[in-house]
Amino acid sequence: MKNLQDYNISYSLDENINLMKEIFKDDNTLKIKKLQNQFNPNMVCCIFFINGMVDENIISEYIIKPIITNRISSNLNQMDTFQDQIIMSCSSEKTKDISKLVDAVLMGNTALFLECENNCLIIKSQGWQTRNIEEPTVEKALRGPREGFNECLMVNLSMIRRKIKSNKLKFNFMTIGDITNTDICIAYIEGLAEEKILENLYSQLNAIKIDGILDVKYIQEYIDKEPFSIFETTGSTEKPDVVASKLLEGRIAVLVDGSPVVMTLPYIFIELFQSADDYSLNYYFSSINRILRIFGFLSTISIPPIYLALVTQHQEFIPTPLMMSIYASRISTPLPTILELTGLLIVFEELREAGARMPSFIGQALSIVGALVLGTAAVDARFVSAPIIIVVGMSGIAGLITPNLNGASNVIKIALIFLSSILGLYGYIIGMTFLLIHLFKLDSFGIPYMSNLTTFNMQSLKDTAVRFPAWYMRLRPRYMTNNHIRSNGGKNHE
Amino acid sequence: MNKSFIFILIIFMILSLVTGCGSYKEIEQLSPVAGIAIDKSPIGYKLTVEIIDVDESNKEPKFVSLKLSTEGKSIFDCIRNMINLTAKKLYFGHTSVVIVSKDVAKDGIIPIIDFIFRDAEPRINMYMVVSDEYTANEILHLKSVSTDIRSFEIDTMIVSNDQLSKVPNTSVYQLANHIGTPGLYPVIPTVSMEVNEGLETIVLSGGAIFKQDTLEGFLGLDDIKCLRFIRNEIKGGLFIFDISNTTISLEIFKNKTKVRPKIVNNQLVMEIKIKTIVSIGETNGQIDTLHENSINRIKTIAETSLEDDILQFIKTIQTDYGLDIFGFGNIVKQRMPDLWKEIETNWDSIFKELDIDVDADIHIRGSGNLFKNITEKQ
Repeated sequence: MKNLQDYNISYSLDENINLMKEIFKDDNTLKIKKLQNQFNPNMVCCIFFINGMVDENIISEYIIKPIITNRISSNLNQMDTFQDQIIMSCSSEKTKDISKLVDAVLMGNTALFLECENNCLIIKSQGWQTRNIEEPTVEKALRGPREGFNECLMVNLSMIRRKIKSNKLKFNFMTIGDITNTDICIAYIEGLAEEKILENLYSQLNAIKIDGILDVKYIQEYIDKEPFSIFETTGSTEKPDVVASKLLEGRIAVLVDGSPVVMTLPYIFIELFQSADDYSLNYYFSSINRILRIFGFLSTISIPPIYLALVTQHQEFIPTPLMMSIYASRISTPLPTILELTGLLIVFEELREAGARMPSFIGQALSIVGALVLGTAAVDARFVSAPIIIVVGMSGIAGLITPNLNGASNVIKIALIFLSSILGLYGYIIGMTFLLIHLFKLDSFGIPYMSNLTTFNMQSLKDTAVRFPAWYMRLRPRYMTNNHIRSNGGKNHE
Repeated sequence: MNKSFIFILIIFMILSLVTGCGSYKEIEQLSPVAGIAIDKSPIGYKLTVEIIDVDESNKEPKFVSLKLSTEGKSIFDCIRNMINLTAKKLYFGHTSVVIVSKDVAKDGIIPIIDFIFRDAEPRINMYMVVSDEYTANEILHLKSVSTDIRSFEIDTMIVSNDQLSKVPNTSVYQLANHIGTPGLYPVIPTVSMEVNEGLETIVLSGGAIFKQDTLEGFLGLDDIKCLRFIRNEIKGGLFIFDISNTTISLEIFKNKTKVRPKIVNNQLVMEIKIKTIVSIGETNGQIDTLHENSINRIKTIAETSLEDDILQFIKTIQTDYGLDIFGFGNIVKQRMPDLWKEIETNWDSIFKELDIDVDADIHIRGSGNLFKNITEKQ
């Protein structure tokens, strides 16, 4: 098979047509159309495009129609005339580079060849169906903006640009993926984003050698500094308002064509508990919600191991009436507590996974099976003890509060259950200690993962467990940017 | 994946299968003991335990009390002999009360306290009670009134007695502290049986005085109230006295007793200052509770009456037992350490002759929801 570099554009139109046919051999989506000017029959040209990638209206109205209907005289530098006077397109480019030509055609542009010209004109004619702008299903908003990114990079960029109308907002393109040639866009606000982080990001992105990027997650995993950590050191969101607010804090966003998820960095631990809604709702209410999320994370990882430790090793820690009722329900159940617990946790995770993947019309059947058969019936049949159902249920609900942390909390939960089944509460405490050490060891692009959580400075704590009112957030996060002042704080509140 | 990683993985996989080792024990494999009764037996002790059992005949599990008894040379021997009777291991983590019979108490309760402290399971904040007339076994077998578990009821009775202050609220760790404190002798609750409405039931009957760890005698319910006044342990209760044919009940809200040693005329005197906040809880309607003069009269008479009661009680203890259950010696030790070093050895004889100075200050806060008597004509 010949390399693209080995091909050359010739002066003969027919040869060029054969050339294109050879390059796109067995690819029937390539459309070849020969055109002839109606006033000048010697004026022959040919256009190539990929069916389905182009807007056919653009081609017929603004490329074919001018070529056929205009009076065109044959002269030298015919290509320049075409580019400047005939083709009605906002973007066109002359090239001799065959690989550039092929890339352009594959992206939905139209290539125009002329007789007696050894170059070609690439005319922008992209147009394909994209999904509408919808509300993202995982990040539902009660109050704030509801639009979410879709799979088209340019649409996504326009959504960000509409929110930040400033020439300081920079979009930098690059391409990753030897085969997929995926467009990547790095967005930041000049003067706010830290230069060092930006350089670091570029060098890491340039180092990626992969055949294809299909989702932003590929890049996230490539540039993760602690690749084996259960915590992500880059953020993901599907909402333009979230990206805009992060850019305004001096963060950097990376968009990948074909993925509705946008990566933001640097990313710190407390962002896992923040939601876009927090800033649209009353700050007392959103503070309560955020504390609930933190509490939910702690309870989802702690309730099962602590229950296991108490019931199997530290019975004296349980208040007597509770101990008696657990005792009564445990009698004549066949399985040891550890098996009951892990078994039901697995069942819960299966239900959750089934609920996420199955077609929605099976939903009712699933909830009946889940709630009735596995809950009440299992207890009545003395398969499992009733407190286990409560423990697994509490842990499950608490885990659903923080969907961002679902994966991490499941791993932590299993590890803690394992430790407390061997060492009891000691195991739990040892596990939590290791978790804390790990969290404090992590950093995201040089920013400590636990930033803002180890201080009593009110300006640093303003957006952690409690969301302070907007007028109080006078400064940008200190660790993120050198340009701190973001507002005058509102004169009424000084 | 290198070899050492696989090796560690295998170790952890094996570990997860051997979690039965260590202190892992399933809750249903235990027999939770609610209470213990200890009696004398020819070979040593006779130990009766009350086990919480579950009656599974209905769909709703019901807790029932199951009593078992064994004999042995020591307390621990009795407990281990219990394995012959039950398949499950006795579990003392939730034991709330130990009933000791009079005979065992007379021989000494140190072996029991020793077991409670030495063994990992029993909690040291359980109560030890002495049964005065009946054997401990009999007390444990009496029908319970409020719960199904006899022992938990005794525990609750002692705790809620703070509203009455007629029984000492001394748990096992306090008892052990009191035994080891110089100049203080312990008093622990006593239980007895009473036929009430045809039901043979348990009743708290006062306190038992111990000299170190041996039983010396019993105190009645009202004596304990005086004792709690002196020890500053009053948390509630009533103070009842007579004014010229009228019986008045004062409800105690708050009490603060300060005991200080004083040297008067080269003689050690204990000065007891009692400050009590009360309200009039009940009268027979013959006394005016509205005007200050009348209230002051009630106050003066109540103070004298309380002082007399306490002096009388201390006198009785001094003459009958000669044991410093009030902790006067301990207070002298804290306040006058030099003097204590001199008198420590013969404190018991000094206590018998000790002069007491009681000063009660009763503040009557109000007369409840009535300010006029019901009998008064408009």
